Amino acid sequence: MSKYWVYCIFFVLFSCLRICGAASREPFKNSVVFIKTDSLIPDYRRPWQNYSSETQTGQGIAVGPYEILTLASLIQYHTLIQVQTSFQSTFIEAKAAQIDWDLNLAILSIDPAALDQPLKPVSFTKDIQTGEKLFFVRLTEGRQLLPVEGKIESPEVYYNPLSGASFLFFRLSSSSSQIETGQMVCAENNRVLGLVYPSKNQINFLIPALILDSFLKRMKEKPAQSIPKAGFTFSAWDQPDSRRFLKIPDQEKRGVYLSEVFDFGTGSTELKEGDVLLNWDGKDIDPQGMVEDDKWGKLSFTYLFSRSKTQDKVKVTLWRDGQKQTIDVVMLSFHTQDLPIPYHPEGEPAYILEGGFLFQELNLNYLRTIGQDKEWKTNLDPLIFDFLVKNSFHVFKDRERMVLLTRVLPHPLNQGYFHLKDKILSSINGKKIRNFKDAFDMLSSGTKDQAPYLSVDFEDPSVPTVVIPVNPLKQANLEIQKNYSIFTLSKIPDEHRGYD
Amino acid sequence: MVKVKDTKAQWHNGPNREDFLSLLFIFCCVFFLGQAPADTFTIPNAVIQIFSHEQVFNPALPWLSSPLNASSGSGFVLEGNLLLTNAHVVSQAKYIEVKKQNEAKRYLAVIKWISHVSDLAILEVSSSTFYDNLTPLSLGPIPKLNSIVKAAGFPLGGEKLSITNGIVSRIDRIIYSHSGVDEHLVIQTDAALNLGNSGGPVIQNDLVVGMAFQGLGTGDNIGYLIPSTLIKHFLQDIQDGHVDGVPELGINFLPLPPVMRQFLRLPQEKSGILINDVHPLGPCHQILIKNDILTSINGYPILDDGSITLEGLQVAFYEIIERSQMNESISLEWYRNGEKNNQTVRLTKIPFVLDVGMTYETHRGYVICAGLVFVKLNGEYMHFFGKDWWTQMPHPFRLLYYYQTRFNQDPERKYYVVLSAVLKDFFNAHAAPFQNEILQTINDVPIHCLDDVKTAFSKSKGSFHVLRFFENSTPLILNAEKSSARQSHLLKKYAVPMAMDQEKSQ
Repeated sequence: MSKYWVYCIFFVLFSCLRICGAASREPFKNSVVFIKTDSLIPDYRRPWQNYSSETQTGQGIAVGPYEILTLASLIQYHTLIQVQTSFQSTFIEAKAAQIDWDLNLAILSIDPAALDQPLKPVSFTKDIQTGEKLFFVRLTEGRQLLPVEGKIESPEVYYNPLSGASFLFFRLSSSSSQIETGQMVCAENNRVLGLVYPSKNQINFLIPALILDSFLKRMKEKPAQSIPKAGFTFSAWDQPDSRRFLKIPDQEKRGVYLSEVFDFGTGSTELKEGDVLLNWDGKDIDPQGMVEDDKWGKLSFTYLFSRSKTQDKVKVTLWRDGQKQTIDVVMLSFHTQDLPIPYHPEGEPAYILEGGFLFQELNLNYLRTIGQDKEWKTNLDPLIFDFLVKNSFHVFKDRERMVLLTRVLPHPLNQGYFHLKDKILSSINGKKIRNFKDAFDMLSSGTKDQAPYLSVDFEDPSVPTVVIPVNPLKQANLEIQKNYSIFTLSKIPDEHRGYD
Repeated sequence: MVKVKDTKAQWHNGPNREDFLSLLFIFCCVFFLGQAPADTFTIPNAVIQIFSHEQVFNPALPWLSSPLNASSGSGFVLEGNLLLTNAHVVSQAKYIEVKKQNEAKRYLAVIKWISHVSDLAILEVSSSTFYDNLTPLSLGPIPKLNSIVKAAGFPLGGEKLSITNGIVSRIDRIIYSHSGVDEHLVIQTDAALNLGNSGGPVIQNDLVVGMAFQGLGTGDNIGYLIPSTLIKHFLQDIQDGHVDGVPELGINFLPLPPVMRQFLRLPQEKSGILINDVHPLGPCHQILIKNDILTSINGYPILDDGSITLEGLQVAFYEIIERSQMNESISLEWYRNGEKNNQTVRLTKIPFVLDVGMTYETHRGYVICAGLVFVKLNGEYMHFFGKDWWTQMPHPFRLLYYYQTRFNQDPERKYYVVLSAVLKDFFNAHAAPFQNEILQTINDVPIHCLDDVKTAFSKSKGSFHVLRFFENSTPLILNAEKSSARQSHLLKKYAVPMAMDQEKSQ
């Protein structure tokens, strides 16, 4: 008899839990979508081809009846985006409507005619508490809503090394490994806090409402605005003698040292190397570069950038030439594609293959084929690494971009040069190479001008002059194309045609 | 046990069954078919066992030494009572003993001459009786490929002489691991060579054709000999009373790409190598330029792959330089834009601002100011970053190592000075992140050598010292008064015997 009652109690408790769980998931049933993307990732090492097609899955959150918010990385280099809702068994094609590569966020749009009913948009709440219990909502491919519990650990200022942007994230923890890119994060009372940004090493972050709302607002502007970015680097300046050297009074406890001011981004025109930043937009900066946030305590002051819009003017108090000064600084941004050593989050790699010599632009996409950024210090030719250190955010003195001879595909025409790789071009037939278009023009004009040879020189004088005979070039190119199965000998995307 | 300085150059273990069968086969070939030259052999009593006790100093904290290390190697006596061995057997040795075969007595020896670039040394034994009853050996020629040689020595520290046979399997150029950067001719053999064989003679027809010195751990039975030609060069080098080493041409070259033959209008009957770069401090500066084709050296025609035929051997043209002494002249022939040129060049050693070869100084110079330890940036310091030091060392070191000419534009610079350590105190602890940075200026005084450091610290900017580093825009600021006031306290606290090693810093 007693056993019967125990079973009954368990049955009642289990049913209650199921009902509660269902109740908590129900409001989001029509707000979360399952996303499946197929992508062709360009192979920057063999730029005439792509890696084999890849399928990724992730999650999205409805921000309009036919608009879905997700992570940009999920749809990078996509060939097809498909979404599935909880109420419709078939996959529907979606289009990338807007993308912000700095924040890694994207808005997808769906054709209303393809949906049985509109999605239910959510509103994000800024009311976040650390330690708060929360759950990640995920729609499985079988259209089941699957909540996983977790909690918010701590706020963190995340710096994206590819884009140069900093913003406030929250570190999440969960015992479950079933956390997917773009998954919705909710707290008690069905408050939607944001979405999951999976980082490396199984660490997940929450992109909070503060960032998401700002993104959605900026995307409505024409043209869409980017997030402001810092145009400088700083170092701690807390040693008393170092402070006194700059004549900072002992009673002045604030200030961080500007070790480098870029040619791009916020402060690039107003700030100077050696300035000590005391206050940024009303927030005092301590000697380690931290400010006191009303809610989250000490955070790196760079998170303040994500609170502003580009072209906003902020008051900055600094210590310069032995005096305290307050100046206006205009919040600025930049696109990674426009930097001297760019990163192209989309598009095809530019290349020229002439006589088996492969010429490519020096960009982060190519460097990432050599290793992760932490490995570049040891993997890269030190001259390239030096340009990377000095020119990531500084214009070159004598050129706009760098062009590399990345490798040589062996052919009798280029015999003796097979060993050359990753060498920076300086000139072709004596003409300085300032960008990829210059290289393209010189290589093609050399063949048109009926000059018998193309002569390529390099930044490093110990690299031999590469000489390409023009007469046999056409035939050699055909043989190289055939031998190495190369469909096209050059690809010059539009962004490389616009110089001069 | 003989030390091996580079893991790339480990001795291989003794011969296995396959080796034995191979040797047997070769023996049969030699004996019955007479394919290889007939070999006479008398067991030499001039092969000596060498016992060394070495002390290595910490490159970053040069007053600190490693525990004393005992090792043993081999050597041999040449005519003229010259006791030869490898430099790596005795480098940094504080105490050396030598022992003859069949005699219990150990004799005290000291290094008389040492060449780290050639991995060769001559020891001097003070006892006049040491050379009694020894039959000195004589140097022979480079042995022929596939001929049999006998290696004599004391492998693995054994007390009795060991003799192993092998064939000459290759004659090539490789990097000598003792200096870590110098490339010379070697004779490769499959004779069983082990730790302790280093410095021992390798004999053919009772003549020394090489000295066992390093092996290849990744291959099977690959041991290397220093050829008699390099030993002869060393013996000639010391005739003037000092070791000058091997001269350099100071050129960077490439086997001639076929297309360059037409492009640079080289006559059809000529061959040669393409000049890429000429070192501004080398003997060919303002003689050769980029895109010249070097066609002949001392009358020996250079082939497109950079080889010449010398004494019946196909060797790299650089062998001519290696066999020349410092200040000797050689004749060069080259083509520039189709025009033939000739000139005699006096060979020198290039005074590299950053010498990456190991020098094995017995003690290193340093200067300590404000608790900051400054040393010369050189091969010892760079090799301190481990087996793959050329990738593991800090970026500025790599940049200067690979692109010396591009970044060394200051003619005043003798060498680079690096902040090797911080003896931490409350006033200088913030200098720790600057460790391994290369000094650019102190108080606006450019730093070209260690002596400049002391001078620069005497020129403080008001109450402060301002230190600036290569490739770093953030200055290091130190309180000048505390820097001098705390100096003696810091030396005492960290048990440093003196603030600078003046002798070496001069």
